[in-house]
Amino acid sequence: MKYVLSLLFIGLVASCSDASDATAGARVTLRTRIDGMPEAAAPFVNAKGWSVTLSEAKVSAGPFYYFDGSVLLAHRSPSGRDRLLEALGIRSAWAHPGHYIAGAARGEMLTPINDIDLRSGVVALPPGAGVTGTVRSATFTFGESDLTRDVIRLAGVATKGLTQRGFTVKVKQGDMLNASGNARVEGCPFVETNVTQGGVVSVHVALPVWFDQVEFQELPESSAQVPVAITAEMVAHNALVRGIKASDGYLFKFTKDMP
Amino acid sequence: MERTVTVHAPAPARSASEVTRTADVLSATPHKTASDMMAVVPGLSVTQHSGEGKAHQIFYRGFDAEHGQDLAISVAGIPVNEVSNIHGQGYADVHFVMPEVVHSIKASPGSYAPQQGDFAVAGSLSMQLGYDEPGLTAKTSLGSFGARRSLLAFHPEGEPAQTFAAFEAYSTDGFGPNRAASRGSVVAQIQKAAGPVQLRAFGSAYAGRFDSPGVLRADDIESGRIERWATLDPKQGGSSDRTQLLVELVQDRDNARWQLAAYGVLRSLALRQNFTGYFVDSQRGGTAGRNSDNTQQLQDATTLGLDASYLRRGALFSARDTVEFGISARVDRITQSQRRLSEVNDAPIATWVDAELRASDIAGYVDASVHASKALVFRGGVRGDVLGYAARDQARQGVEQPAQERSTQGMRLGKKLTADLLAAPGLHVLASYGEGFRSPQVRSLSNGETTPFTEVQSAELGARYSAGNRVQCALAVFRTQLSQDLVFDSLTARNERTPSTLRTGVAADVVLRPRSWLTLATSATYTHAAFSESDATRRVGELLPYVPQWVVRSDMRASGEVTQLRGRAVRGHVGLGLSALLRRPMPYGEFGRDVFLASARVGARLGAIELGVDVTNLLGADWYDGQFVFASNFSRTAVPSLVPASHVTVGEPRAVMGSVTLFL
Repeated sequence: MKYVLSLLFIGLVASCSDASDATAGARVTLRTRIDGMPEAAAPFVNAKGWSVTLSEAKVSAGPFYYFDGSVLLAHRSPSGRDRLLEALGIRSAWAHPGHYIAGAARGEMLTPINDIDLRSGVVALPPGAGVTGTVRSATFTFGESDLTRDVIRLAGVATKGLTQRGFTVKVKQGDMLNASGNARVEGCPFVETNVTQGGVVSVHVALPVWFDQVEFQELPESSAQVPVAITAEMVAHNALVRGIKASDGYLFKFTKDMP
Repeated sequence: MERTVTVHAPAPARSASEVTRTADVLSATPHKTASDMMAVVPGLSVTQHSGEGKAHQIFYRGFDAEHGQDLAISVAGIPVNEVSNIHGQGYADVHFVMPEVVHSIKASPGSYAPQQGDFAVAGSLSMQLGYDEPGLTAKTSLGSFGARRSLLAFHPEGEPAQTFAAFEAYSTDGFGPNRAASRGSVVAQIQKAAGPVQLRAFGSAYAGRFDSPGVLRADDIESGRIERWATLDPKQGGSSDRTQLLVELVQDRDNARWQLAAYGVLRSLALRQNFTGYFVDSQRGGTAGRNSDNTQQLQDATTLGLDASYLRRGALFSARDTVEFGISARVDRITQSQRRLSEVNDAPIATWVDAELRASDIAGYVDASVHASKALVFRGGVRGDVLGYAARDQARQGVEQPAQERSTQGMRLGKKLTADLLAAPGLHVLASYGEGFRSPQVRSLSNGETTPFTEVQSAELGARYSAGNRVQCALAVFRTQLSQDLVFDSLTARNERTPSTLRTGVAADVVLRPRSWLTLATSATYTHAAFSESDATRRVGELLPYVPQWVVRSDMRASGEVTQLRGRAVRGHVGLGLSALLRRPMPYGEFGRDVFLASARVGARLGAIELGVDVTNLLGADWYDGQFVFASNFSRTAVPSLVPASHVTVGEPRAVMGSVTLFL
């Protein structure tokens, strides 16, 4: 009997020798942060040759979701010719290989935040929930479910040679609805990261992409002191909205918490 | 007059932890259904997360067998597991059996016997039916939450317990909204001997309908945002029916035994379920026009089967040696569909599955028992299964389309061996090894593909001791390796293939009958279930989610004559059942809530009348019956959380059922 019990004991110890004590993954806290944007304060030149200086750049945004699905945007390495053309403001179109499939959500920040001032440096948003795993793309919504509310307010001056246009623009959520009837920007690039612990998701908004195709020439003569409103029926407004909805105008990045 | 009396000894155990629970243990404590009764098996626990009528979810020795995919279940010799059921592979619904007619349950862990085929991954479980109360029994019960039950049974005096018939009608309002259920069932069996030939005919018919409250988010309950008995989609539930017939002939002579059984099963299942609320449309973004994820699953199947075996005694090296040759055949014809239903009028708005399936499992085996010495016996053999499948899918990615037939075929050979050493009087030391398999879902196969099986290798070392009927105990360590596994994935909310897994553990079981009126049966099983290979998302050593590591069960029963009343004996019965499910790993390094439940049965019989009271959840525990982790959104308008969250189904509160039984 002793022999049998010994055998059983040895068997049990051997069978459990590689015992782990947890399933895969963990829940983590993700703190989303809107990074400061030098372009919001300094002038930048758009594809139409206008130098744009912003005096106001406020957005309402949320919720944010972070997914494991890859983004669609495919961009070959730029050649010397491409770089020359880009320096002249002529950029290559990016390929569009298929439909974006978000995949599984790894994290989120669900609280919509109004009037985030993109000129004021880093803006910390409320913490959100997440789980460990690879993150490759992000999706977010402009503003709450109120189509009439201004979700973006911009003001500034655009200069091209001696021509100057002062402008203000208000974009409502209803101006940006997609075919599904929502103001989502889907499939934004997220620097691929295997999230293994909590940390910060920083969002960089590339304001030059918003204004890239805006032709200010059609605006009435104006100045920074006496701006004109870019309204929804103007071509410039459409160009601006297209830029705002472009997913490559945003870059998400994860930085893990220091131990 | 000369009479022939045939005595059947129980087949020798194939592993130390093989166990048979007999009527005294099965009837010690209350069991609402035969599925619920399976929980008396050491290492096994069941939950019923979608209404009183949907097959129980089974956990056994580190396996989340879902609704039966890893546990081969048979009742009266008919396999219950359904091949390629739309709700899950191996779906096994035993609601057609009333607990009173379950004579014994034999649990065979692992896959150590050549008779064990498809689905015997964690093991197999067979229910033998019988009813030995002579004459007519009429039982009426009333209980908490509007529960009403009637049972009629008869057993001709002088006939074996295997000859009986029973009828059950049951209904309940349920312990909360959307939990009503009703069922009706008849079971009949006759066993007749004519010389050395024995005939057994068995038939049953069952129909049930049930509502289901579905899941709730655990954080909603625990924060008090919703009431724990609430339902978030009252359109869930289903219906189920099963009709079956078996005829078996057995001839047992001195040196040979042959057996032939043929059976047929007609089976239907309809389920409506919504585990995720409005999640599908939430992913699209926005809040306008969200439709619910309520899904209808339909399954109709016809099964025909044949089992035959021939056993020769003394054909090998000694008179005690045996060799058995057996065949088994089962064919299934299945029609199934899965459709998403409209929020507005319940009309199908998308067809995910619309398929006709054919499945055949043709098997043969050789099983030998060789006595190497007086004390050492080797038992084992080989089993070969040839499985052929064909599928006609008439829907793909939500769109109906002309059917294309795909067919596949595969063969599986499994080796089994048990060494049984009689170490001392009553003490056997057993070492067992066995290879088993689980067939795949037919719809998952490609045309011409060699059928990929989930292959299992089981090994066990242990000892069992028996001193007649008074003391039976067993202690064993076991190890089960799967080539690939199916694990509920919190991100896709369905079972997904995973790399290989390994389960190791120890099982202990003690049954004591120190007095003729007292039975104590207690078991404890610990299993460590983990991945044994890595892939992109799994690492070697990480625990498998959802399966409780500790399953402890105890059934105690005292019954006998309590007193005399006017010269007539008053027989009493007291039973207590305790069960604990501890350390249940959940995804993301978390653990689910432990469960500790108690139930009790008290009864007294005077002559032809018996009064009884059953209490389940005696201690009034607030417990979760089912626990899952996945993403959901149950709001049509709110900003949805898309990160996987804990979801639960709430367990039944304390319930009392009183019964009056007449024996005529």
